[in-house]
Amino acid sequence: MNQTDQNEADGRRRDIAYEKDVVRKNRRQNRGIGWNGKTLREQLAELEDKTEATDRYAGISELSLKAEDPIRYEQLYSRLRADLVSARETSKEVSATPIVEQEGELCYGLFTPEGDSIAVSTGIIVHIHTMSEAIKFMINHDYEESPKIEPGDIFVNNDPHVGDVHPCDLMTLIPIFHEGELVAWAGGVNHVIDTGAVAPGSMSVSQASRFGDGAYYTARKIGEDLELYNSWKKEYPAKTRTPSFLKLDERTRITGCLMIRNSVKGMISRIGVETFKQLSREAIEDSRRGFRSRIQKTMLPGTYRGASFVDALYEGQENLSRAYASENHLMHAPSELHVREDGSFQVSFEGANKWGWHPYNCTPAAIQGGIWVMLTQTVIPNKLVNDGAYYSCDFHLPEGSWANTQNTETAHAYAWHFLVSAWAPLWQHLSRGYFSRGFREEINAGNANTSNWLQGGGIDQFDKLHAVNSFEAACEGVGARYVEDGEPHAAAIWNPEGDMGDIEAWERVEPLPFLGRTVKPNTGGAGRRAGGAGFESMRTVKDVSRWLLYEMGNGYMSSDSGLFGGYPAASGYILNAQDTDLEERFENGEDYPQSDLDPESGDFESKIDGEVTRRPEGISTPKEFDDYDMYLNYLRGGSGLGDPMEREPEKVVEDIHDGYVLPRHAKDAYAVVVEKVDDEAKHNSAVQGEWELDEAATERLRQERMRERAENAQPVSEWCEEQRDRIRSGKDLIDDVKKTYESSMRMSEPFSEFFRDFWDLSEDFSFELSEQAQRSLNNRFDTGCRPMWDNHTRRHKTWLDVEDEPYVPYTWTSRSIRDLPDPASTFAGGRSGYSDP
Amino acid sequence: MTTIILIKSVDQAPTVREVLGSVVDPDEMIYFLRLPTVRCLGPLIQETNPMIEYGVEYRIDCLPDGYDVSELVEFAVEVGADRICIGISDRTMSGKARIDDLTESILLHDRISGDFVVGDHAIVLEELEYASEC
Repeated sequence: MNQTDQNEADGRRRDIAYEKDVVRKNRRQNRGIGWNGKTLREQLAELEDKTEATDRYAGISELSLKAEDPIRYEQLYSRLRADLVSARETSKEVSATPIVEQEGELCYGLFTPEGDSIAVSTGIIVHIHTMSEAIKFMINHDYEESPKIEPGDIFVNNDPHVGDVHPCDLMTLIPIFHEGELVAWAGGVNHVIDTGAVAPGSMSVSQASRFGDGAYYTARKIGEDLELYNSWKKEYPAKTRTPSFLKLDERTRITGCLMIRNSVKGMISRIGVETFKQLSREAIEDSRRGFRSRIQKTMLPGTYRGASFVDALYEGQENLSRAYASENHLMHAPSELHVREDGSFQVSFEGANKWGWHPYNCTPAAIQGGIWVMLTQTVIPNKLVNDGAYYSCDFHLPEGSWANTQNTETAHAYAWHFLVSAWAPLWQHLSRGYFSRGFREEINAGNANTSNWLQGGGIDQFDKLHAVNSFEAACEGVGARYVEDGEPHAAAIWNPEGDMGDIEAWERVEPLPFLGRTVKPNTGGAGRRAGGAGFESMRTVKDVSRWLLYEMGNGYMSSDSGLFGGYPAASGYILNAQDTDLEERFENGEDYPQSDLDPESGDFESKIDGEVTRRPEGISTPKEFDDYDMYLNYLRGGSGLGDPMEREPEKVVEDIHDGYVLPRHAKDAYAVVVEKVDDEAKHNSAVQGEWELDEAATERLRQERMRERAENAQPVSEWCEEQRDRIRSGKDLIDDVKKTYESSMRMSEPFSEFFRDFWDLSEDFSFELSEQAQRSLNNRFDTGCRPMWDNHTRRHKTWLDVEDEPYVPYTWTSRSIRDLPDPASTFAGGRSGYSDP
Repeated sequence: MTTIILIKSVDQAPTVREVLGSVVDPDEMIYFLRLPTVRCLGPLIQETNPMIEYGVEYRIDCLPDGYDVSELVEFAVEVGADRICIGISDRTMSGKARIDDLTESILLHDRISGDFVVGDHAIVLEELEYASEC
């Protein structure tokens, strides 16, 4: 350590010793670590009481700091945010995993003593709210008394039931004190490479319960005086296959948290602690107001409805940790967005089906954090981003459903599979709202299903136990916008700055050399505006032993539908080749597969001998791979917007040359006829050659398609009648579908009534299930609850007690947007700007 | 009007409810004063939600270990308390509220005088007047 760093460390130690002394003296005087001698739990209770009673954060009526000197207010807030971003950019260089260093799967937040985020860095900002929940958990379970919260303490959490999405996201939390008072928390999260689960990798897929998810650290104190306990230093490295990586990840998080601590201390010394406290409160109230005013301006109040599904197929999979987990699951997410006149809104998943013996279950922290990250990117990109948005939303998450298991036996290793799929309709709700108010540029067809997840591990090229988790999934196609096509291979919704990462960086830590990496055609949804294309990497395996690999993503089902007549993105599939002749091909200089651009072309199979596996599923359990075996990592595209028949034919030709569309797909999906005019020309195309539009043939084909559509069209009433017969008879309905709806009906009386009423079914209608499906449902429904929280926060009440939900207005029929005098007006406040929500 | 509610135990939700529900009016200022016998009023506030359910403004304060009753009176003078409410923690066999040492020492303190009212769960000393310090 150089002298400057040494001096800084010494200064920090002195400061902590002083602060600790003050805190302990205060404790002897019966004073807590909160403001003015309150305990933290008192402070949180008071905050929640005042916030709910006044509908303003902490009861703040005037943003006095902002009003008195708006420029200074912005400067102060920007300084905090800049320091958080700086902490992230600097500390990520400490990490050794491409997950953090290349993809930036890391974020930081600054929180109030009560755990509300004041400012956030860039990165996986979903965790701004998950860390918030973790802090509130510690407060409401009296950590101030035991194990005590003192200056210099270090806490860790990765338990989704406390506050996380899944256990591979480890968070570090450090309290920041000033004169014996807790003034803030610094928190950082990153995605680690291996959690010590039943299968190698960070998001194992073959376990039935939490006990196979990997190591759980439930809001634990792991150090004091900014030094880690020896017990912790010995414990967690032994609980992962990749201890060196996790040690550096931890140093990354602590580095960032200390930088944030320095920033806060510096600001307090410049502006005084009272101004800092005022800033932290006002920033959250400001954000809460900003969210509401934005919603008031851009949405019509009322109820927006949709539904999404995704598959998780385990029937017949090998290597499951429990035989009873060998069954198929379909996630059902009936989604309602209730926009109230005051600009607040509620997201409801009433009717969500039961959790399952798979690792895709969610907790409220995951859902709230997940939806929050999506809202901040779409609704309030220009407002302050912090927990103010959280205070404008409430979430109805039925207890016992996949969205809120309230059962600490359930597995959560890849909660994102259901979470990302479930919020697909939310994009559509928002987009329909924007459309109805005349906003066009904001409309988006939705995000990609963020998969495939290439994961596995074994003995690597350095003869060490290792695990891999390719984060190329941080780079997916983006949904089409109303005014433009979706960006190809751009980002993931959970990390807007995501990237595919350099091949060389992945190859340094994974014994999986790249044979090719390319845009994957036909993966973006077709539409007037096309969804952004995904991409693929063809990997082989080299210098390994007892090496396992597996896949994770959507398979048969597309989790996102398109918008306004656009098509969904392509779903996933699995392609592996084992016991191959790849080594001989290398030695002989022969051709070998570098891609699988057209799965139906036979091109891949023509260039390799071996045991080739093509399956339409998206999930596999760990399979043994050996040197020169092959694995396709296919990253999904975004969905389309508008009727593909309305896409300009010339753009489809460009799509062919850019590699986004295969010529046969141009005809099938877009009714565009193209002709190859040159065999030699090279574009970025999936197929070699120059293609030209046949305008006359295209015109004829499109007219023909329109005629076919008209001929095949039937009145909705007739279609409903046909479907009603299917439901009544159970004919042509597979057991998995029946089990899904039966599960939703058992979960929710309102959904049950709605379903029976909609399909005109008898009052006692239920689906006839196979004995196995019936047993599975009974088994899970009989399991009951095993909640983690003893003392909930007030904000939990929307999912704790359905009867006590805040008032939700349903759709109005007595008014119209035409009632509004001008585009800036809202229903709530006349001429808007800010209508004082 | 300003009211002090002395809290000796987190089990005093009935006292708080009685005082907030039938003694004070909405918009009054309440001081929850935590005695050293209780480390945290968090659960009590979470249970009673004084602002949501009773519309009162409030603050939470504490008295240190080994405090003297004159410190409590000092606090009452400082905040201009019109009432001091103390929970009834015990009753006699015949059901009368037992006056504990704290209550007695407040009642007998030479700087403080007021009307003495006994409720179901709280003893209320109201219409407080303070003698100036000698």
